[in-house]
Amino acid sequence: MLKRYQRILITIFYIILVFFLIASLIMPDKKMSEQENRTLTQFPQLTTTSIINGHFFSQLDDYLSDQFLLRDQFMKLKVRVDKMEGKRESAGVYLGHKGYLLAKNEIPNTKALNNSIKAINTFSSSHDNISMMIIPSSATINPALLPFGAPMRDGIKDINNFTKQLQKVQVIDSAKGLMKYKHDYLYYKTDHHWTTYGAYREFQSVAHQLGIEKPITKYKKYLVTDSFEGTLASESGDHTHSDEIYVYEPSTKVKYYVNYVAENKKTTSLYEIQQLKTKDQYTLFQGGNHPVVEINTTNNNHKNLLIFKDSYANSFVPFLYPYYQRIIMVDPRYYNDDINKLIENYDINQYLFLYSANTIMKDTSLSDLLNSN
Amino acid sequence: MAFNTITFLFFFFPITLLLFFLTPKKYRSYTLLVVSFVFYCWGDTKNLIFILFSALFSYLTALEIDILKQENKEKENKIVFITAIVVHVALLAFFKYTGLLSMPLGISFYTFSVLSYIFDVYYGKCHAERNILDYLLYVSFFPKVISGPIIQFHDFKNQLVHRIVTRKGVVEGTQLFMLGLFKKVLLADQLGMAYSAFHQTNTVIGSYLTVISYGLQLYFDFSGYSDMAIGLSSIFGFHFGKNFDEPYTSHSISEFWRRWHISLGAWFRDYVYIPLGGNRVDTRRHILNLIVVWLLTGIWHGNTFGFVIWGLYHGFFVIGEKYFFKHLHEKIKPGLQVFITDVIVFIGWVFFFSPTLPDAFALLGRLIGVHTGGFISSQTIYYLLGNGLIVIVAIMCCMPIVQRSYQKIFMLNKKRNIVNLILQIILFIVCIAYMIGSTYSSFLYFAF
Repeated sequence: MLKRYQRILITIFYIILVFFLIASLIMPDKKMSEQENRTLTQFPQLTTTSIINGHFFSQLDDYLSDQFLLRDQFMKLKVRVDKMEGKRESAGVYLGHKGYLLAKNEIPNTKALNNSIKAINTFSSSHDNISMMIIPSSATINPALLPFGAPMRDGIKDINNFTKQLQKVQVIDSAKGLMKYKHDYLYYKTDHHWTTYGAYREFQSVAHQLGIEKPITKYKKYLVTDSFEGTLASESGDHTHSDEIYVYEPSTKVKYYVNYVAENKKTTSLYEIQQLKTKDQYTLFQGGNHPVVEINTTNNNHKNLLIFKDSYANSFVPFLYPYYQRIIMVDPRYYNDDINKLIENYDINQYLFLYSANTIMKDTSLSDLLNSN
Repeated sequence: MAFNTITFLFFFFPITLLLFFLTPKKYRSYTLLVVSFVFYCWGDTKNLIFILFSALFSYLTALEIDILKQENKEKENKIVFITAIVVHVALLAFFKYTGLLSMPLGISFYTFSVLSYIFDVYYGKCHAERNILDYLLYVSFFPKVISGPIIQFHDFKNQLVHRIVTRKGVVEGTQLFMLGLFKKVLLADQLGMAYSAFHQTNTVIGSYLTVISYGLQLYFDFSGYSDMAIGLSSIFGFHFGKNFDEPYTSHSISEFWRRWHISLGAWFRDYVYIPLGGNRVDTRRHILNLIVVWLLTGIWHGNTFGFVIWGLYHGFFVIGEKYFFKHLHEKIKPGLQVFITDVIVFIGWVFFFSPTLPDAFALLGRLIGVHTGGFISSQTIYYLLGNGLIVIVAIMCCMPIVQRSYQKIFMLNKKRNIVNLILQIILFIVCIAYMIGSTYSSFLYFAF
């Protein structure tokens, strides 16, 4: 005998199946996923080749799951159930205390790292006035944010292993300065970058090592957004928190203009406000990464700085400009011109390598660039 | 295509049902045949040729065996029979053990189906099938083609002819399918993550949890998949027996193998053990027969030496229970028998999942405190906090007393039925969330 509840259960089951089948057929397809920060698979083309090589079927699988009705909501439900089960990790991102999402420290790519060391040492043998700043990850600075017992590589040790092999380079101990403020808002909760406040603290503690004698202490602070959901939120699928982005304006009379050389675009601001309307609001700083960014100021002190950098530098450079006549930012991942010619053209007399630990631990572009001549 | 995917559940399955019930009864087998081939092609277009070869070759040999039998040509018949067996086994062995080409989907299962058919025709259990479409459906029937259960031909043909689709079959089949889906998505996949987490630790506790989560994962994975297969078959009017019957409640290893992957055990019994003489031979020959069966069982499961050890390990206990420690075994209390059986089975899994023998022995060593990273570590605790609950739930789901109490409280009582109903709907929705979750991938443009 079938029981009534069995029939009801089965009926609901089939209604759900058919509902989602029909819904996915009639709902218009989406191009982009805001949450996952990627383009979604579209309906595959039906050709004889695509059937025979199986491409059609695998594409259709992706299409059906990508365009599934309420996909984002189901995703959130999954993360929520995971948390209820006691999981403190989602897609390799730790769900830490106080709403912090924490990226795991990268395992150093020994070969790439050795290449970088060799290339930097060759560079330093023919250039002077070089500094190296490696910014540790958020979990390295404040391990107390990690879930209890969460395994994590010793970020400080990895950084020291790298920097101790550098010759004729002034190594700046960023971790030491930042750790004094580890309970403050140094890093975004939902993004792998440091906050403007983090960059500010770093600047205050390292200014004299960079040869800046009287760093400005007065800044005007502006809150430009409180709805920033960064890459860690996308990666983990945990969208329960958002971040604030601040802009610090130093009180100085120095004026500047920015030249994005590759894009042939000049502007008078280091910020691209319209980027706040996009998904990745961190691109507020210079509109993201560029091969070369040229900052020319009204100073006439012949201090010309070249920064080899990743995106951590984008929010750091607004603290530097008042002390230089010219700052050139080169992102080796996108730049592939002659670096010596650039040094000559801009009359560079100071160098700074500014990287986050997770980038430098697996980077191959820096050694490629430095070795290219 | 696996059953626990969005494509199957929300696309292939409803469309198949629709086509099946729209087809006039007489032609439904053909609908099933067509969808079975689409199902098979979905994951594996380029290996379609091997399943077709297997099916057609066995179809023709069986016809020939039948004819030779009628003409009383025993010698020729034997040659044809042995050739057929050798070809199928060689093809399976080629894919499984050389690793030169990727394995065609389900080859271990459909080859065993095909072999059982040739055996049955040769030993006169059934006649060769003339309707090639019926036979193709037997080989490729989509609920069972990828991971069984291994159905014997006469069983299948009987049902194909006398099949009636009933409402009871649809409702019970759907429920069994849902149960299997829960087992696979909510337990097995989660236990798989627990296993890989614990496997990263080298503490004593971590090692125990590695073994426990693996054994549970394997059971829920395979039995869940079998439940889905049997449930689907029932919807289309085919009724197959259980493939798993609470194996972790067995009192002995012999009993465990009557409850674990039952269709494979039956296959080895009918087509290896009994043809070798079974137990109607002297003791030494009987032990030899058992060793052969367990050696083959091990080899069937995988291509490393660990599987051979695992098969012989089980064989050792089965033989022991019959001859050497029978009396000792009988003296033990039933509850303790179950415990001891589970300990033996779970230790066996170490050989099953370890990539190499040294890995297996290293893990076994850690279980008794040799070369460990301590009894417990903060890392172990971290993994325990994240995965402990699912391990406990899984253990409870293995216990008949928990199952029976649940049935008594929520399923047999009309007023409380609603709790069970709501729970199952919630579990189904969570299942969808996890199936979607497994396709989640954020694009990392690395604005580092």
